Amino acid sequence: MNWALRRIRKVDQGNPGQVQDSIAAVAKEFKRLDAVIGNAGIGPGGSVIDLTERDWLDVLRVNLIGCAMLAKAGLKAMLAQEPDAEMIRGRILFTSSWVGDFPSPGADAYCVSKAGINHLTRLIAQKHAPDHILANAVAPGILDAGLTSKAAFQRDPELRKKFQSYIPLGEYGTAGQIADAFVFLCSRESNYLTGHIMVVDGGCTLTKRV
Amino acid sequence: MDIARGLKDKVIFITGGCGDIGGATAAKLAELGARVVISDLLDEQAGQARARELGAAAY
Repeated sequence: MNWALRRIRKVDQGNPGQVQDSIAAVAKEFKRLDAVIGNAGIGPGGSVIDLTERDWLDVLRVNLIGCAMLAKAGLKAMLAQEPDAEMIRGRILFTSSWVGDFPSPGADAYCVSKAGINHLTRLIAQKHAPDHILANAVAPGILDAGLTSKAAFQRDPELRKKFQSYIPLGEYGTAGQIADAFVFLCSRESNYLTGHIMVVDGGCTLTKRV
Repeated sequence: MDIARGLKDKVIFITGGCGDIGGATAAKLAELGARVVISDLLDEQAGQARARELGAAAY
């Protein structure tokens, strides 16, 4: 495993200054930026009637505006470099969610932030296709991992059983299965794909709504 | 099929890289030869533990 080239930076996706500084540092160190993946997110539970203004501001700041500012910093670095051998100048990728297109009451601010990410993806894809910059998102279904597990299942163990019945493939998705979609979207096999929301959900958007 | 061809030496920056999805994504990309820079809120204890688990060098 090629861990030697991996680095960790302390960054709050909701802090545009930190995001911009990090992207600039990476581009400077490596003289290249092939892809940015806006994956950080938060997801407090609650419907419109429960959520405070503070909840909305926090979720949109981190999940949506954070991704927009990450994209902005990434685009600037990418526009300053030449396309690679495959004629791709860069890739802007986001972690969305199946609830971005299929409302799931109970985490309303989170759903809206993911709906926003889907549109952000399409807007960037359209605007920057002539620059040979691709923009795509992965929309995970219900995972027994990440925020769903942390936020919902630990609060309400019954939900775990209930949600499983909504998945045609019968099993919860894994983080590795979502990672596989990102690998594809970073690879040369996806060079003609842009503006796409890749739903990886075991079929749950085909069936009942949660 | 040799999926993910063309990933060698690609420079990729990911936020939330210490979480489940971000960590798995960073690991797979790095395994395929990409140069991955992960970012996260490392002041959280869980994030620190995750970073150690992934074996990454902090800077």
